[in-house]
Amino acid sequence: MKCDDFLPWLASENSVRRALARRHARRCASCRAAASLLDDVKHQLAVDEPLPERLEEAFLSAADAKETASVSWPTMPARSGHRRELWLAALAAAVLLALAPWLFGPRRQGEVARAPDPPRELRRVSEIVIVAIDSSAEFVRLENDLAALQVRLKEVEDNAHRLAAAQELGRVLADHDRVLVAAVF
Amino acid sequence: VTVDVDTADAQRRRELAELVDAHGQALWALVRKLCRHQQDAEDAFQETAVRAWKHLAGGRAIDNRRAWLLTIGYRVFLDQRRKTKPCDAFDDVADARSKPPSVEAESNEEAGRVQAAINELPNEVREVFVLHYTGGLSIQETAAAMGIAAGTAKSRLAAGLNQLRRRLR
Repeated sequence: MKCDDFLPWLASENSVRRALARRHARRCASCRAAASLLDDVKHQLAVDEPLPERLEEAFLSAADAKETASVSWPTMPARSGHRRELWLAALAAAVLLALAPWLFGPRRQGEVARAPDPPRELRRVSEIVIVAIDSSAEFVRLENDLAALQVRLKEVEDNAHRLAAAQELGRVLADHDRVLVAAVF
Repeated sequence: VTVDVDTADAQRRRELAELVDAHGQALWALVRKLCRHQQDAEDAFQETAVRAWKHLAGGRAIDNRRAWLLTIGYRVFLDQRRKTKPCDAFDDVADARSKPPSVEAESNEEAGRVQAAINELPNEVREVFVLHYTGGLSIQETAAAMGIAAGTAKSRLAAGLNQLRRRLR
């Protein structure tokens, strides 16, 4: 193996690979320098100071931000109401555009303008309920859910890897037993 | 009903306190290294607390609290970066640890060089280093936090080490 192969192993999570890379680094000046550099980087990035007390208090005060959030709720319907108006305006514009050729289109000569038939009712839509949602809070909730799911997925992946490793180990041991039995008998 | 709500609220507050007790220091170190600026780091820390509280208030279960909290911290940092321009680096990074006076100057100079080289890494590489080495997240957890494959996180780590070698040679 070359130095370039050992280099990623210095930062590997696999302790065997890491040990092999470190053993190689003891004999190789270039890799020794890389290992030393990695130690410096780890040292530089290490958790280096205790959490200031005021930040700990600030963290705990997040629980009281709940009240602030609920106080700010009444301002939300104004925004969603504005959005609803925009939607209604857009809907009205779309209906007007769709009916424009029929309402304002050119008439043939002699044709008498007559009152348009009332639009046929295609289907009746039941009562629509519009609800206001705090979109920022909903976004944060979904994002947190996603983070939790990603962590859970990682754990499931880890378990799958462990299971695969256990199965592989079982196969190797079974082969070993077969060889052993064949050797003995 | 009032008693139940109060009990649930007290329980969540206890959970929040346990969270900051167990992982507050790691979260602070993480946002500090990511943000590079004291005020941004403090804002990110507090915003993380607010998001964590909202999640706790939702009553959903969390399996790995450290990874969960640090992932939220990282997401907050990303949101913050999208909104603001990067600021100056921390002044106190290099002298954060006390050393004997005789070696302090030399050590600080070396630490400063290493820190500067880390700061010069591309964001996506530097963030892998910070999540992995400061946050103490595994490669899988780092990858999950960043929304990338574990192999990508590994290759960014190796590429980052190569870049640091070249810069500090």
